[in-house]
Amino acid sequence: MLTSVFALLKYDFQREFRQRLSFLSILLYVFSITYLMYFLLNTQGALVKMEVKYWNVIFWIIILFTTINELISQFSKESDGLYLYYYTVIHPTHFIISRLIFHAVYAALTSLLTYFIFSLWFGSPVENFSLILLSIILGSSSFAILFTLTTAISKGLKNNAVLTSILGFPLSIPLITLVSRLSKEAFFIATSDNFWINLSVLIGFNLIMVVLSVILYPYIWRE
Amino acid sequence: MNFLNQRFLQLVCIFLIGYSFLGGILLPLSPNIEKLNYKTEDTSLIINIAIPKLKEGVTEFYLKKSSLGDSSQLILRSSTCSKIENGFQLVFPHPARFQDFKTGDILDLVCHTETWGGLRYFSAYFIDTVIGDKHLPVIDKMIIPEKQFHLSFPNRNILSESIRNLFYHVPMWFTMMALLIYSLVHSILFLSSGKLNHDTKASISAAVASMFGVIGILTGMIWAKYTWGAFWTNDPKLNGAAIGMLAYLAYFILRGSLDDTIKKAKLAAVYNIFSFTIYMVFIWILPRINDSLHPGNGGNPGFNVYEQDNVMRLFFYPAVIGWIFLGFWLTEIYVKMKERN
Repeated sequence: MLTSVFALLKYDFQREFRQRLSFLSILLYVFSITYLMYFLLNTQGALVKMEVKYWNVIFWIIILFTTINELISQFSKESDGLYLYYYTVIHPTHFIISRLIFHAVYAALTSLLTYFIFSLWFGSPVENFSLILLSIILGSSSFAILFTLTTAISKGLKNNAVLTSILGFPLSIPLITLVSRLSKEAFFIATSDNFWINLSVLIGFNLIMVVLSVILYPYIWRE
Repeated sequence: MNFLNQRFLQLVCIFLIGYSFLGGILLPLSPNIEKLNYKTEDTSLIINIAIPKLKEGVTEFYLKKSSLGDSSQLILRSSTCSKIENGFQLVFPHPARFQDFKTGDILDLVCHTETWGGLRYFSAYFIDTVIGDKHLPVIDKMIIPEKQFHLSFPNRNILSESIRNLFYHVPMWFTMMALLIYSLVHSILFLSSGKLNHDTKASISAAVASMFGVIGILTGMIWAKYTWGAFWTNDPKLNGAAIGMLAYLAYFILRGSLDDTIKKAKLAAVYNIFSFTIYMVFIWILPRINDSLHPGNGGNPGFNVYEQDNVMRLFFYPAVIGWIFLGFWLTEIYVKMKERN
């Protein structure tokens, strides 16, 4: 099992490295949406002495939308023929595990880059740097895990881009509340009492989603 | 759920709903201290209270600390009590003169009656400064008179008449939960067996559950307007309800955008299981972490405050059973209609 998961992961990363265009397009997406937010907030004069809570909200909204677009573009890149080939040679569990790992890592990397791009314009009022890194990695990978299953469900349907968002948004609300609460702690030097509870609930949430995806994916694998 | 076709059970269902519906509207509320205003003088505190529905005598009035239980000895008895229109005028020695009370203490007013037990008005008086150095007068242990059985609902400040909504709002959520679990079970059964009738049952019970959810949200919104002051508050349970509704609407859109029956059934079943689990985690774990205005969360009195009252129980449980029954009955009817077509 491990060998086939590793082979798939290796293939995915290699292909991503060869076709740098999609990665660059995600970067461009982040650049333009961050600049758009900056421009819009600047015309309203909202950037002067902006409070950290608004920083937090705008940041996570950008991460959420970037992750969704990333996932949709990843899935739409693969042709039906490639899927047919996968279907004949790979076990669905191995396939979904490699997909979950790939998307989580990919989303975490792009989100870290998003953080640096974001701080160019909005500054970085962060006191606890390791904590914001932790919450970015955990948060973006949990979005990626959630949207991996919803994209897998809506793949091959007529309006799949819209359906992915419709199916995923209601379920992403608990995640984004937990994640933003976690990253709010990074703006202060001392962590509050709820920190460990929030962290463990978020990790538990991720585990539940991973287990459900692994159990449920084989049923929709053929469709 | 074929046993629901029996005429007898259907009549029981209608009877239970009708009984709880009529009883919930028609029974009166118990008397309670409904209005309170006070003025302070140098050595005394004069409190006017209104107990409009009380037809019988009262035996005792006293103030006690909110933070202490009923067995507390730190109480202040009224020195005189005279009857005014709809209520009583009470004169207490001023609480600020006693050093047993601390600055910032909140006092409850308790009133002993002959058959209604102890009536109370929570947070009746707030002590801003303590000036005196006297101790409270020594008293024996207070015994709250036993409440006799009256066919009436408890009367609480803020809630007052809207307490009846318990019979119309809460059963909707119980029914929705039951139907969603039924839908989940049929989704799992469909994935394991591949029989399409499980898919029909899962989708129809999810639809009926959403209908009950919408009614639950509407009745809850009306209740919230009268007790919390707004139709929608940022409460974890309300957010949970909204997310659940959005997730199930997405479920129906997913079903609608597919033509192939088997494919539709599989994708919908997978999404149903996934969203149900996340929804459960969201409404059962997250409200435990932060505060909620609903009973039983964040230091609010638990749900069993209402259930401790026997008369409430007499109508609440039949209502829950009746509405759950109705939910399954509706599901059964729609499933049959779908199978005929």
